[in-house]
Amino acid sequence: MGWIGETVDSVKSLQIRQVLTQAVSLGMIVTSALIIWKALMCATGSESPVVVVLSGSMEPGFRRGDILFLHMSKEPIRAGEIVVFNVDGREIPIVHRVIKVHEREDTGEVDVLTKGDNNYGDDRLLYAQGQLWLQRHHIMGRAVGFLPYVGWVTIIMTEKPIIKYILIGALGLLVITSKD
Amino acid sequence: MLCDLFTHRLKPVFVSSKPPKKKTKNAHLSLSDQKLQKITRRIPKERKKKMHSFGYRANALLTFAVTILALMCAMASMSDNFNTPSPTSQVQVLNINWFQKQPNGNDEVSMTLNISADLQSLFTWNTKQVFVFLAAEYETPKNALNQISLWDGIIPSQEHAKFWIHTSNKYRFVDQGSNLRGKEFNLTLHWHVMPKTGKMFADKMVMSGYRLPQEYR
Repeated sequence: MGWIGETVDSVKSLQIRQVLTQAVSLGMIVTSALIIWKALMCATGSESPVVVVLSGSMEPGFRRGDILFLHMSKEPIRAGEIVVFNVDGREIPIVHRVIKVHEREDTGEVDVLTKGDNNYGDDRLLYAQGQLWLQRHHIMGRAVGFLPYVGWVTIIMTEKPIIKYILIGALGLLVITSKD
Repeated sequence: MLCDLFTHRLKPVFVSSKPPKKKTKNAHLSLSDQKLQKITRRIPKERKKKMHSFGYRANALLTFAVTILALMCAMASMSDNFNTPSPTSQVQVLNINWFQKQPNGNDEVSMTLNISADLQSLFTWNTKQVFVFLAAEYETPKNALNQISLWDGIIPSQEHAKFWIHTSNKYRFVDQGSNLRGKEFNLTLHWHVMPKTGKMFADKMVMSGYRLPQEYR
């Protein structure tokens, strides 16, 4: 209880100059996070360089809550690669493995079929009605790296927004009350 | 009087250098208090609190722990580079079960395969699993490259990495068009090493010299 009291006191005793300093440092934190994200976008060439695995369709390789690092290069897509793709009419991108590739002689366009390692059949059921193949523009990137468990933070925060608000509030309070 | 003696002994400074001039109540004590207040006033109230507050310590500890963990993950991933694997594999096409043209004009073939491989050298301490698959690869006039996965499997541990399997193709071998009669193709064994953490590795082994029959059957 004493801790809360002290915190309230310190907030009350803030000078205008200190308030400004806090605001600037808060802004620095937010913008540096944004800078890192955008820099990653440039470096990897993918519009979302880090994705969280939401389903168990790639188990036991990727579990729910794992983080994948994506890379989008000019290199052609080949069988066996794990790609992240968007299907028309679906909001959430899917992370699955390429099992068939047909690359055109003249234009270099590709027809790609994917399948989840843990799924029984291929992904034609997941594609849009009547769609047999994925094209290049559906694919957002290929997975190059892997970090387990870290994605649970975002899964919990999207499923229980109250925790997100508590966390943001606590962090905000911490930034306001910490003096440098 | 006794009390005075006591305090004098506790604070010998006053006894030796500056004995209290006035014998008023608490004279020397209040002097030291004033000094103390002067000193403390110079230190901002907040800094005194911040230096060793719970939040500050927790933050430092968490940052340190996360840094060490990230470093260990990076090192584990880097250690994979020291492994130079030398896998071996052999594939035989035992039988063409059937070979026909679908009503939509695409050729389809079903075959029985015998796959043997030794992938034990791919495993390191940072390997979670190895995904292995066999793909038929060939060229057609329309397509510069066709890759069709015929069989795949997940190897969970080094003990299972030396295997021998007799199977018909798990996924359908369908061409885009009708180009498969007498077609020469490669069978390529691909493997994707999934780490416990870090970078994923992939490589392949091409086995050439396979040919499909000239006629449908």
